[in-house]
This record gives sequence, C-alpha cells and structure tokens, in this order.
Amino acid sequence: MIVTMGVPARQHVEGTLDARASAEARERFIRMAERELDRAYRLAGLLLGNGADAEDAVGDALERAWRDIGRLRDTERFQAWFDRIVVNACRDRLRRRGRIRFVELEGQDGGRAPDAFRAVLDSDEAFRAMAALSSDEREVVVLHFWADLTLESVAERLGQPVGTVKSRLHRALGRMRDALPMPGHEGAAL
Amino acid sequence: MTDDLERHLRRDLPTAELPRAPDSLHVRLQAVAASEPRQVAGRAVRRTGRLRLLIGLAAILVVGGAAAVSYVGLRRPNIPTTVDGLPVMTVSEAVAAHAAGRLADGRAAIRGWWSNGQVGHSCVPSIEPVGELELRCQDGEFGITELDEPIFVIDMSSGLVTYEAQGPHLSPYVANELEGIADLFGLPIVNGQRYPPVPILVVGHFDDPRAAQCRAAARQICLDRLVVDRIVEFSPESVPTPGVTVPPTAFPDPPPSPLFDAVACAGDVPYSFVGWTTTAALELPYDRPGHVFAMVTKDPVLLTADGWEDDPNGSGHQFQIWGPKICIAEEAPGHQGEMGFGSVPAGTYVLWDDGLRVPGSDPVRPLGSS
Repeated sequence: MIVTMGVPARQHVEGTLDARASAEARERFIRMAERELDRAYRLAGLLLGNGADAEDAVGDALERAWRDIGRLRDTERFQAWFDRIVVNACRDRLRRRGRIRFVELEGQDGGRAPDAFRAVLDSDEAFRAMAALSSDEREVVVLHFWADLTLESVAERLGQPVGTVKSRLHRALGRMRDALPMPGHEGAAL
Repeated sequence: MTDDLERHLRRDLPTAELPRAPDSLHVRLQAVAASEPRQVAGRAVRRTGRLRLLIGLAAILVVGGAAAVSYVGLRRPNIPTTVDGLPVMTVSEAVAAHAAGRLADGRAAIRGWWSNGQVGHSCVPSIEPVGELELRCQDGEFGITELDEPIFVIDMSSGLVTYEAQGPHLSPYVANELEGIADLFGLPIVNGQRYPPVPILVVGHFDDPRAAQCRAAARQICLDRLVVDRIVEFSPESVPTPGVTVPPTAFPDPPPSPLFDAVACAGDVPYSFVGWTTTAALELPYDRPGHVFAMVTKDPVLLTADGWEDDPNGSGHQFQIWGPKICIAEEAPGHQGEMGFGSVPAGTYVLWDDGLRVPGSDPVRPLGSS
C-alpha cells in the first residue's frame, strides 16, 4: 500500500510529492509505449491495410492507453494489454470506414510516397488474399501468424472463445485459398 | 491441418519488411503523455461500484475496517457561537445565507469538519486562463463538511471507487500565505490511514473580487467560493487517531448495483448466479482485478455467436458450443462498458450437427467418428 503525506496545497499546482509521482508514471508509460510502438504500428497496418490509418489508430490507442494506464495492474502485461487497445482502435476505424478497401495509387499522384504496408501486402499473393477477409478473420490471421500468438492468446486478446477463434481461422484460410489465383487447383494451397 | 498456405504465412508474414512507426507517432506519444490525462469525469455522489479513473495516483488508501481508536488526552475544541461579531454557522447555513444575500459584505464564520482527500493526479490543461478561485482539478477533494465525514475518499479495495461526502460540504480557497495552512494540508497519515475529519472554525467571505478573473462558465462558482480569511480553531488533537489497520473489507456491503440485466446476457432463462464475484471464483480463463458483476445461467445455452460453425479440422461437419453461460461486466482497458463471456467448464460441450456431443469447448471430433 503506497501512502503519501498531505502537502500544503496551492490551488492549481500539484504538491511536490504528487508531481513527482505523476512524473514517474508518465516516464514509465512512455518507456513501455516506446518499446511497443513499432509493433503496434505494424499490427495496425496489417489490420487496416495502410500506414495512414495505422498511424491514426495507434495514436488513438496511445491516448486510450494513457487514459487507462491506472487500470494496468501488471506492467509485464503491457504488450498484451496494448494489443487489445490497438485492435479495438482498428475496429473503430474500420467501422467508420465501412469495409477494408485497397485504393490503387495512380501513377502520377503528385509525388506522394507509396504506402509501405500496401507495398508489402501487394508483394505476395497470400498477403494480398488477406484483402478478402472480414475484419474479424483478419485479426485472427494477423495475431496468429504475424504476432505468432497461440490461438488461446489470440482468444484472450480478442475476448472470444477459443472455439470461435479456431473457426474464424479456418474460415479465413478457406477464403484466402479461394482468393488465390490457382488455375486448375481450386482451393489448393501455395 | 497445416498446409502450404499456413506454412507460408507462418514463415513469411512475420519476416515481411514492415515499416517502423513514423517519427510522428513518437512525437504523439510524448504529447499524449505530456498533455496530462483527463481527470475522472464527474463525481461519484454515492457509492456506486462504477469504476472511475484517476491517473498518476500517488496515494492508495483503503477505506473500511474497524480500527481501534484512542481517546486518551483528547482536547475538545472550543467552538464559540460568535466570532468577530459574526454568528457561527454551519456549512449549509452559510451557503443559504449567502445565496439569500443575508451576509454583510459576504462575510461568514463557518464551523464544520476539515478533511483532505487529495491524491496525486492532474487534469488536462485548460486552453483559457483559469481563475485561482476555480480550484480547477481539486474542487471537492479537500474542505469543510457539515457532518463528521471525509469530503472525498478513494477506495482501491475493489476496483476504483470514489466517495463524496453525503452531507453539505465546500472546498474553500485557502491562500498559500494564510497562517495555519500547513496544518490544514499537513495532517499525517496514521497507521496507514488518512487523518480523520478535524473540527474547524474559520472566518471568510464570499463574492471575492477575484471571481472576475474566472472563466465565464465558472464565474458563479467563484462568486460562491468561500475565501478563508482566518483559521480560528483547528484541532487535530481533538479527534481520535486511527488504530492499527485491520485487513480491508474485501467488498462493500451491501454490494453495488447490478451493471446489466438478463437481456444483455442470455435472455429470459434461469440463472444460478447474479451478483458480484471474482473471475477466479468463476474459473474464467482470464483474470480481472477485484470483483466483477456476473450472471451465470443455470442450464447450458448456445455460446457460439454465429450459430453453426465449420469444423476447423475440415471434417465437413458443423458444430455449436453449449454450456452454462457466464457474463461479466468487462472493465478491462479498452473494453469499459462491454461484456465478457465464458462458460462453466463442467457443463460445457460441443454439439455436432450429427448429434454427437463432446465435453469441453474444443471442437475436435473423437477419433473414429466420421
């Protein structure tokens, strides 16, 4: 149990002890979030399909995480906890967007740099097939294969029963196989 | 069954060259953490059990427990009936008299109980200049109560609950240079507990000219703010100090109100449990701190949200998962206001479309079944 002494109050300025504790919490949050920033951005980019949306989603996630940091009892679980927040932020963005839609960049676009996530997802037929997935299915595929989480961990991150996660994974892989260009080998893998 | 697609994804997706987070996100992280998290929205007027947010806590104190007290050597405070020609009033009397315009020059002598429930937190900075009488970010966390009760308490024993005094109370403006201020805000922690409310008598005034410096929306608050001119009587030694702490009460009694009803869980079916418990007691596969509000159906109900699901092992069969459903009010970060679900392991089973029932929640058909 942490206790502190009451300090002489100034009406709109924190006392010395209070300010120090707040500064420590801030530094701790920054350290933990910095460690996860690349991962979070990549996770969001794979879920949303482009870097701009990923940046917005991770930014939203950072704000939510900082707001709720007092709820994180075990700092060892920051990554799992932050993953959930990022996934939720991506879901919110997708709900606003309607559905995942890859926009083809025109050849003469005024010099705008091509999206790095789009480039990676376009570089491989299997990755490109992820575009055929629903957001739920995509979450499972990304967390299981890219984040290398067990299905139990995926279920925990998503707040879903393991059975549902397994079923969604199976359905997702089926859709991806169907979306792959396989002349003469319908449904076959690579 | 693992096939080439799965192997490809497992091998090549994690190693795909994905971009690193842009500098703008690192900048945003610094800005987010520097902008001060917002304070808890509003105040808990009553014990509600709803979780509240206070970021950057410096003190965590537990309410409750019957502490042994000591009355030896108590000096009873001397509370007169008039001070400086002013009748000594209670908090509610003074507030009412000020509202009715019956205070000469807005001056009043007020008696009550002083307490300080402040903890280390801060608020999002205001875009507009804030008047000092607004007591922004701290209003209500310290001050004078009419009854012998603390003005503000934070209870971390079962989640995060804030309590506000039930009787009349006010947070006065106390200038840094006021004689005796160190005593007001320097009450010690005794045996791990905040100092109890202390009898106090002050002389002060309302309608201070500095109210003009307050933001328009806070102008009336500032006019109604008691500005302490003099501490007449403040007697910490007159209250019994807390004894050695006992283990805190595990959960409030009576428990807080339910957070959802049957419609949100499994509908109009019999429930074997409705109330507050722990995720450990529910044997859920994930933990949540403290107590959670939960409902458990008496009989198995359909658990799979999409109805019939395809066998992940490719048998061509479909399955459902049934079991006594557990619904909890989810308050984990990012899921506040949502519900979490689970099932009682002993009663859960997988129902296959051919009528086969397999105990558990893993959709694996027994060997030998087609």
